Amino acid sequence: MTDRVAAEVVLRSPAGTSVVDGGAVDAESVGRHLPDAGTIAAASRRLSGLGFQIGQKGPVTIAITGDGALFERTFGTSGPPGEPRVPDELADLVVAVTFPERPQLHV
Amino acid sequence: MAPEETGPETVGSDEVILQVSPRSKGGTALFDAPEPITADNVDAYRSTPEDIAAASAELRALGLRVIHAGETTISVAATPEQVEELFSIKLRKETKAVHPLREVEYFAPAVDAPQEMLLQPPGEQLAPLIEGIAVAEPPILMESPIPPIAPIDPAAYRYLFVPDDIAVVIRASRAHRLGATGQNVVVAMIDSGHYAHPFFNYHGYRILGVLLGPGSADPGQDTLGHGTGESANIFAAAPDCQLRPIKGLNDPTGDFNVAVSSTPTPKVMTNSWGYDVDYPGFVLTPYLLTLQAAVANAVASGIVVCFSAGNGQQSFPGSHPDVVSVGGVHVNYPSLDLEASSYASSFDSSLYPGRHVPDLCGITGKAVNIGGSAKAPSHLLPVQPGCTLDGILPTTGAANDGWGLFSGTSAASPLVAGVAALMRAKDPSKTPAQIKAALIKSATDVKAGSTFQGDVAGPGWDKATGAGLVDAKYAWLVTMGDMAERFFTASPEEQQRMVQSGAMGAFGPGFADEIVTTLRTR
Repeated sequence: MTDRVAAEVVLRSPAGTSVVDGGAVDAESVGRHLPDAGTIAAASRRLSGLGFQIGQKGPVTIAITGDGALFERTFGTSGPPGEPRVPDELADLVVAVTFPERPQLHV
Repeated sequence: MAPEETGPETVGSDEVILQVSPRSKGGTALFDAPEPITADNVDAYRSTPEDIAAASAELRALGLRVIHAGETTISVAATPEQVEELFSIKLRKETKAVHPLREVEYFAPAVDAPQEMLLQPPGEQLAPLIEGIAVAEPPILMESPIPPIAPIDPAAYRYLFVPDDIAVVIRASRAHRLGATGQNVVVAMIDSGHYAHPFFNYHGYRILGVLLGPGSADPGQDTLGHGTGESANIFAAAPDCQLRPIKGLNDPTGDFNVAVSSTPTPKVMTNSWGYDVDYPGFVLTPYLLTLQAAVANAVASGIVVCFSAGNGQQSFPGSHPDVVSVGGVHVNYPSLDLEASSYASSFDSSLYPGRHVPDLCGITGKAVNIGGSAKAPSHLLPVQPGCTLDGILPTTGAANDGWGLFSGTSAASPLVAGVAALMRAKDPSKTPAQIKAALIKSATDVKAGSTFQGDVAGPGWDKATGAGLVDAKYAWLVTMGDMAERFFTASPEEQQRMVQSGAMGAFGPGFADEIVTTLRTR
């Protein structure tokens, strides 16, 4: 059995806000909360340097995967109910790390 | 008991699939049944939830991968080496023609006598829980591009065929004859994947390569069948659109990122899933906040995003203010009278005060009880043969014929998305908000029936169906241009004056007649 873990990394916007600040975000306001291309590229490089495999990069989040031990070491948890902590070495770029939640199909 | 839901799984071709039978409630192993097992006696061959759970746990402890824990057997995947070691048996690779155009390789026990093919459970823990293990054989695939004549379940109602029956009811066939087919508009769908069923090829539908969302694999497989089936609903409304399947649902935020970044850029998206969370007091989790932003970003990028409202759920992102929230209307046969579907959701959003779900509706079955649970078997849809939804009740006659009967609000969203594709093809400059407004403006009023939540449909806008059932012909006409928009926002008296004064003549001979005919037949 594999212990591959997947997560979405939330990045800081140029204004310092992010999409997880809370409150409703709509088509008009979302642009203010999105990271710019430079932040996405820098964060991808740094996460890759820590050993994570980088998936889709932006426009809203970066998808990462890694083994459970790497997640434990970097974010203090490898899955729910643990809440990932952003380490100091990423804090200037990364606001939060979230574990995906599966939806229900409306069959 | 309901089967344990483990979500869609794909199976590698180098794995062996085993069907493990936990001990039967009736005391006789299903392998030793003295008579054919039928619906009348199958309960004796089911297993208790406790035995199923215990056996699943022991199988996992042995390192086997539990794909699905059902009421009579547990499906398990293993490597050939694992099987040979655990069961002290040799395997050999065999080839079988499962379809006139397809052969598959699979592993089978290297024995000659059929009775030697039944494996015994290894280990002291499993032996008391399990009555036998069989190595799965690939079935002969019987899929046809033409649907089967399926029996109508006594508890259900006449089902509808794709594309024709569906196109007639939402009046898309009328738009198609005017050349409105959604040509070259890319419609992206995040779902369980897409299987290349011959239905699509025979109809000449255009399907772009399947993109994989985070955590997904095997782009040619749809072992659940949901995405494949819902694809057919899109094409019923927009036969010349280009479908971009995104196989995902492990991480919908990541799926949205993939969709928005893909080329050619989608102009419409349809999503038949959601989270049952839109209740007072619920606060979006950080993950769902990322999804909220991903949905908003898609709309900000110019994509019309449709979401199903839910089948009794109060579903997010179906309640997000930017999306086209699609509920369900049932079509009665033979009258084609419309009623709000008792299977579909309607609710006031708590996450977004002032927002009501749905905006309008597509076709959905109404709730009937079949096999002990609520079903909505209105649309007969193509699926991957032998997949989960090929076997959903009510039966189409076989669980490997490549067709399934299912149509919750999952079926409604792709229909509205298809109509949005007709509109975008007509006028690419329209924004998502304008398309949404036009869809709502042009819907057919539904005046009867009630939803899962008990909202009742009546004349005009109502909480059960919003604006009513999507009307492809009228929606397409509404996007004809400034004059048409003025016409369709005018009062009936003003409309009559515009036609009589010749103001509509700018659209060419016959157009005014076309509009009048369209209005008369609504």
